[in-house]
Amino acid sequence: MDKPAISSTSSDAILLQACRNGNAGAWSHLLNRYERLVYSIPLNYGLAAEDAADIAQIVFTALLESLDALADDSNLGGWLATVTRRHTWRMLKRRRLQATDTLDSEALEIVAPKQSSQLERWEVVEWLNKGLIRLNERCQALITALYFEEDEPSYSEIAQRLRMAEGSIGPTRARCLQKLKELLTEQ
Amino acid sequence: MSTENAPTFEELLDWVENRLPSQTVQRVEQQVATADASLTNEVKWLQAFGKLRKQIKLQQPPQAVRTALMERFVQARHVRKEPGFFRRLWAVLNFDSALQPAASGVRTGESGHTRQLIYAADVVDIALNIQSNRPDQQVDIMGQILANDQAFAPGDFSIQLLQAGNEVDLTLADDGGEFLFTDLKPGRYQFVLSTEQFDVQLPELEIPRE
Repeated sequence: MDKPAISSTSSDAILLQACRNGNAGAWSHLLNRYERLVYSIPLNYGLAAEDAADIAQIVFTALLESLDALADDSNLGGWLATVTRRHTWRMLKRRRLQATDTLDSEALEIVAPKQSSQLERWEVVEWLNKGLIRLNERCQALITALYFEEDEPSYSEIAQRLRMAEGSIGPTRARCLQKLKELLTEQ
Repeated sequence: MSTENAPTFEELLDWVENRLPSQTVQRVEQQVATADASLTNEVKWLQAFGKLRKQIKLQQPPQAVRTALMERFVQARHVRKEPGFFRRLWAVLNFDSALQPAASGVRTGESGHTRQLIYAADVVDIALNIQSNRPDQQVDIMGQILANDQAFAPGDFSIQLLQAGNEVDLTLADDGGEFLFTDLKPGRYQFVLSTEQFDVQLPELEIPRE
């Protein structure tokens, strides 16, 4: 039987198996899918970019070490978020930092009606990422640039970066956000 | 309001984000003011998303992280692995007081039971004392981490308690390596202890119903 072709839309199970077989492309797809999640959790607890980068390296190295032990049906995003959380907590202690303040629970209830209103930051990051990775790559790039980048790039900067016509950004963002809303509200 | 007269999703989004051309603002505001439940909910969602996204950071790591992780993959899967950056260790149960004969010194309080387990991994030993003396069948687990390696201190550890892979609790060891989980219900638990250099996973522990 032929092995399934590996692409950015392959399931986690297929990518994991391909990684076990030494497929670097599959590893790259997994990083595309989850590096934002793993890097962002520590940032949302007030850790600096350097610490978040260190934690990302630790967590993905732990994934490499666990490839053979992880079941194909394991919730990889949840596993990564869980590992990231404990390393974030440990780093917070080391840096003598407190976890940052709580999220707007009213906004959370409206945006995530099927989730508990007591979600912690890392759970919100995981939930958001789960929705984002189901968008096509252009939508992912556009939504994260428009809504989650700290320096809030202009339409003109985003158009250059994503090689889009500036006039198309408004309508495209609306379509992407509408799709993201559907995905998030069903999670 | 009929769907023919309703603003488009893009118009609503532009209105919420103050991007609407001035000639369109009044119309959309009027439509929102007389909106049905579906449109009202749409507006509320967009406004809530606008608030929430300002509180959340969602960013890609620097390219250097990706480069390092790609190299690490090649090392891990294709080349004999050099020890070093990060390791995942599995601890082995060396002692369980529940399996010992009664005469060998199992501690029992007047009001309940204490079960002691000792695990060993490459660089660390972990002792767990499970105190189960409560009518509600919940237990407290006091742990201590004993380092076999001078390179790190027991206080460097975080300890994460999981059930079926989902976090139940998370704590940090104090400078003496001690930690505590309280009010645990019967069930199967996994413990993962972490430092910057390694994760140590304990075998699954079952807290039975009495």
